[in-house]
Amino acid sequence: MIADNGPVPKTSPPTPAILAKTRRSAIPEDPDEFFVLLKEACQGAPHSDGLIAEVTRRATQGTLGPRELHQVLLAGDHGKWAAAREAAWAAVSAAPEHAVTILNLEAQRLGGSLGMVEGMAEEGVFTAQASIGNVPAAGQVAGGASKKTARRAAALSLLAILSGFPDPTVGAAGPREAVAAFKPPQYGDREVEEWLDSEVARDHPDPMLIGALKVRRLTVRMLYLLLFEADPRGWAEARAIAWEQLRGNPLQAGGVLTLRTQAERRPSVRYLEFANTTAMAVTEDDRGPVLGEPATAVTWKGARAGAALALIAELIPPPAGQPEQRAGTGNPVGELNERAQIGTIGDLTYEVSVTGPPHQPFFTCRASCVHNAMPVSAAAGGRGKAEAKAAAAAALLEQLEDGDKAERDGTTRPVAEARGPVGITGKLLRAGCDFGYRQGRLELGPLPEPLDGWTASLEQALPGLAAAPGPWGQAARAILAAVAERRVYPSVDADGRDRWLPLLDAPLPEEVPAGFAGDVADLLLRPPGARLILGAVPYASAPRTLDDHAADWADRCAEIANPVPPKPIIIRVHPGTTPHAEIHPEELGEPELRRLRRAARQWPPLERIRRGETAINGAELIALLAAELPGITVEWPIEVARQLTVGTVLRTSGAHSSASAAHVDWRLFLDGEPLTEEEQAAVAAADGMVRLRGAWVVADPNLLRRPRPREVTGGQALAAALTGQLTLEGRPVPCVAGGELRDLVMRLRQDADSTTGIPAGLTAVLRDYQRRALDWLARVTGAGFGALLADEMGLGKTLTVIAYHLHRGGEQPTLVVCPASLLANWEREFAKFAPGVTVRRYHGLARDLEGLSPGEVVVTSYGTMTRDSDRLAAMQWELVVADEAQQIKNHRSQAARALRTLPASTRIAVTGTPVENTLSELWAILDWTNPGLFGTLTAFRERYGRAEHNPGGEAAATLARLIGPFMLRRAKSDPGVAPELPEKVVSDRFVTLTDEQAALYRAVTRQTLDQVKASTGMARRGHVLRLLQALRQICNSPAQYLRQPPTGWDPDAESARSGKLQALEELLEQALAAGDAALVFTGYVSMGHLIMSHLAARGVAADFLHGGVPVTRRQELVDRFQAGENPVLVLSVRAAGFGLNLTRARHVIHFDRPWNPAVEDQATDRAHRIGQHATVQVHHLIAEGTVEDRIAELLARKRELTEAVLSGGETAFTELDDAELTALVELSGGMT
Amino acid sequence: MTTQWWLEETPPPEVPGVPRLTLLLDDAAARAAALLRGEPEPVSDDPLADAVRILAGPGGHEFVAEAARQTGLPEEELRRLVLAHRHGGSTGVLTALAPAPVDPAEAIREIQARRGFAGLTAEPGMVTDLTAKVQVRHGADGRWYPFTLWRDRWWPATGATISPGAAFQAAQRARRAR
Repeated sequence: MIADNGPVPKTSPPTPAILAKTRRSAIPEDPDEFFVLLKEACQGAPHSDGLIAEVTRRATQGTLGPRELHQVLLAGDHGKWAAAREAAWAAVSAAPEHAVTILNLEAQRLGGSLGMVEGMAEEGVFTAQASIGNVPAAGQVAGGASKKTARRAAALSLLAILSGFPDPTVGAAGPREAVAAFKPPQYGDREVEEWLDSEVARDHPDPMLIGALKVRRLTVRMLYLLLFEADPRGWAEARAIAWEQLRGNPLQAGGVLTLRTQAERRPSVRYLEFANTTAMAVTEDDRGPVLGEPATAVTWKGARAGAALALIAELIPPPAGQPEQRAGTGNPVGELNERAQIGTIGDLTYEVSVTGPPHQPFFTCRASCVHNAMPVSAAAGGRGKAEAKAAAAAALLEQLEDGDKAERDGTTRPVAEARGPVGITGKLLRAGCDFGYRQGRLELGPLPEPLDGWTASLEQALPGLAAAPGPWGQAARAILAAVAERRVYPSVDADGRDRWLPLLDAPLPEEVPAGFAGDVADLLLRPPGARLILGAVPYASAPRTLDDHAADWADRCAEIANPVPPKPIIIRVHPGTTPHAEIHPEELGEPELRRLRRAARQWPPLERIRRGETAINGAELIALLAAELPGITVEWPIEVARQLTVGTVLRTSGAHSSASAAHVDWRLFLDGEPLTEEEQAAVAAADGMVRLRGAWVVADPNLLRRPRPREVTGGQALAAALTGQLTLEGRPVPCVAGGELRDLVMRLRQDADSTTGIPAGLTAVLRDYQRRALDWLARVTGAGFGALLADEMGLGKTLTVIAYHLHRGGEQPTLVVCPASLLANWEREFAKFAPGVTVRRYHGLARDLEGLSPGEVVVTSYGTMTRDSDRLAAMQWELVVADEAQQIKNHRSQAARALRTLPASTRIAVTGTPVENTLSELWAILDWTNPGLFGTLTAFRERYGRAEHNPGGEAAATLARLIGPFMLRRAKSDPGVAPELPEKVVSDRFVTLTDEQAALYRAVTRQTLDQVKASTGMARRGHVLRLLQALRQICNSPAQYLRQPPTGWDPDAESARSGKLQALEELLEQALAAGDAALVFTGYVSMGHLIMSHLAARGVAADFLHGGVPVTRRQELVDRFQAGENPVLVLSVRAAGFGLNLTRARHVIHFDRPWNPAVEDQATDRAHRIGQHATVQVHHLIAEGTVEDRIAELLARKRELTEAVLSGGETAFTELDDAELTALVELSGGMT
Repeated sequence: MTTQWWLEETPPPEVPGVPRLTLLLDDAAARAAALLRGEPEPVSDDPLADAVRILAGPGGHEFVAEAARQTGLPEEELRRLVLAHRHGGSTGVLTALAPAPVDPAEAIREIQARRGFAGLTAEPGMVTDLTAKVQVRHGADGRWYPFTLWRDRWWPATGATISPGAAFQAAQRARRAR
């Protein structure tokens, strides 16, 4: 015997159990122990030599039993065991009755049975032939004097073949011819029936009986006995024969069933007939009705026979069918190994045994494994070892598949269900049984006993319905397909309860009631266990009435889920003293009804109107006005004025002041206009609608019943009058201004034609928009308010303010507060445009306010103003101007607080930075111009905070109405401004040298002028050029002159050292805040690097284009700037000379001047090429009182001349004589 | 699979949220598909067994804590029942809760025939080997269900079968594999 363990390594060490047996040498006394030892030894286990001797001895003595003989003869090794085998064979030959037993044992081992075909060759001569199951070997036909001897002889013959000994029947005594001519006898049916009748009481059939059954046609009675009376396990083979025959000839099935009902004393089997010649058979057993599967045939007779057969299959455990040929398995051994490797089976073993004579051996193989914890094995034989193994493997695979199938059947259709109501209902439905459907229950039939009155729940019926023919099956499958694809949605049923509905591709057949689809979906989506996981909630456990939120959600879901949108729904309101409403269209489908249901949750009268009660009262009308009905249009006739609102009429007594009280008159408003007393009385008298001003108005008499405040402050009143909204107790109510308040508002809002003449003493021509600004300033300040002039940079705000100062005149001096870098600018602008005005710079060490006369202007910096606020506050000012008012955007800053202390008749704030983008900054400036008018910062933010994020929203619009009169902001692109602007606006920005710059400037001037004076010719020229270069660098920044590296740049310290850097910062800040891009030109690459460091430290993204930048990279920088990636581009004047197109720039800042108009214009034109539609603002930074200042003056005054003189650049200056040169470079002005 | 476009509507608090609705939808879809294939998984009338079936399904494990709150059962017990469902379906769950009380004599005989020695204790519908920490229980479907002892509880194992002996072996195998 060979053990083949497949994947297990063949060199596995002997197990401890085997070692233990090896050591045991004594022959056991106990027969069972002896047999075990013998069996293991025969199968190859190590054993003592004494064992074979003992076996031989016992065999010779005749004391060896059949089971031991079986082992020795059929399992024992032919070589080692030869002697024992000879002795055993002799023993069997001597006692041939053992041969039958031994063959039975072998048959058992191989999983088959011993077959014996018997006959009678002639009177007194009995014959028999033995064979075992699927072993393809049979003994000789043997004869004998009795049945028994014939059978023994036949057995001996087969045993001889299997164990390799000569067949004793060959050549044995006996009538050879008679035996050879043997034919099985023809028993009569009756005899076999009787034989069977007594035999079926036994556990196992006589093997000879099986042989007899195989060769005959079984009668109904035989079939009945085998199928219903015989033990299913012991008689499996015989029953399989019976079942096969019955399947082949189902007409016998009815008879078989009749015999059963008679034997069990049950009512006869009933047949149910359905369409398509389909029949079912029903009977009952102790547990209740038993129904066979439906059977269909050409004739009713055939159908009934099939039904009977199906019922038999239902009643008996169906015998295993014939093993089917496995398809497509080339290598069963390989497949088994595969299964063992992936673990679906375990413990795969093959046992091969060999029988037959050495020259013609026959191999049998048993393949075993464990599958699903059950041992499974199969045996087969073959002429070769491999053949036997493959056959065994194939047989095992078949068994495994049968097992798998049984396992599947076991889980998918347990016995209880097949027998129970689900199974019976399912079969009836699949057969096409009629039923009535009501509220989730099916009443089947009419059906005969024992199925009459059969009912099933939808749940029980669903498996059957899924396979049912006809419209119901079609409907069930369509619904199931929808659920399987999750095409279901939550909805609300007619009673307002939660319900799932499937979304079907097509309408259900008309035989199926409408509720069926929802019933099925609901059943599937609410499994009994859902409540234990999700709790008692809608759409999971039992349906309940939904609240409005849930119902509305479900209706929304249903609307989304359904591809068919509802038709437009219109509610038409008919006005009158008894108003009513109608719904259009009148015919409404489910989508429209759903939409109406949703709307009715917002406006309940809709439900009533839908039922035809169309009258609605005043309260309902008012609710309808306020309701937002999703997906529904409410049509009000034209003559219905929408709504009455509560509003106020505000009146102030006397002149306006923020602190004085204003009277609040509460009124009903219609379309923004207050009602008269008579109209109000009419409203109070009406219920529903009232006719006012030629239209129907929905009357709400409750509107005015609540007590409300009667007074507000003057500041609140003005703000309310301007915005049209009075905010009381956190709620806005509409309001209009009455009396003097209305006049004031009208005056502020007035956009009248110019009434203000050109003030005397102004030497400039005002552009139209500047005149409008002047008018506006005059109007607002004339009404007693301060103003914020916030025009974009470059529109001439300074000139406007100068004009206003001239216009105003007045008893007191004017104070201008500005950043220190702008002091010189103000002075120069006054000097230029209003030369008659005395301007005093209040800055630096020698500052005083002594002897100021009316109309005189004091300019000071924010820093000085903050330090000297006490002194400045001691004065009475006609006008205080805060330039670059964003400096006080933080209302808590020292400068802002100091500024508030200055007494002034009028306050004007000026800024070019778009402060309106930041609400608190805007408030800080506005509140300085008009203290208290705009409320506290907190209230302001609360009310208008939304405007910051939503500039197009309601809050922004209200804010605009409120601040509109007090703030003027125009952009260069505004239609009223742009046409007046030239292509470029050039302005000089004068900056003051810092103390450090001034000291350096003087020192260099003094030293170098001495050198110039002491030299002549080329040396002198060199000294002059060096001097000019040094001075220009000092004017730019001490850092440049002192060759400070751009690393480790401290921007705060550096801008404090250079007036130009400070001015650059301010200009860029304004430009960038407005979203503009700027070019910064410098003649010095070293300064360019310093500017870059400065911008980087300030977080401004900038590129630097200079001569050292490769040409390819230059284009890249230009592209980046044009694409808006960097808002600032710094350029060296020389590098910018060629073909650069920088039209995105709105500002061009010349940090220093090239002193060559052609070069300068060329640089400026970078920004001003074709494609540039907006005005370009050109800023020249000029250090006040320096050589730059003087040359600029020269350039401005004598452009034509200087173009000639200075076309050579600085070299022209080398020709100046000493006095001229000194005058040119000497630091002048207020620098001490 | 069709997208549940309506799930984008945020459900109000009284309605199950999106993950819960998804659980219901997935479960219903799986059962509907099984019905269409003609292989319906039987739904147990017992709400607990059915709840365990849902918990054992795809995505169900996320709801064990919630089910513990609703049922009052400890989470570990629910996980034990989920395991029982994986190995033996709804009958497995019910058997894990309580065996079907049949006379165990026949089962003891069969198990002893395979194991060859005593040491078994028996109750109706249940045979236990405390030393080996294995147990088989009779289910309402006539099969025997293997269990192994772990942390003082009987945990379901794979291999329910008609044969108590084979079930016992399955329990032993599961025990060894532990």
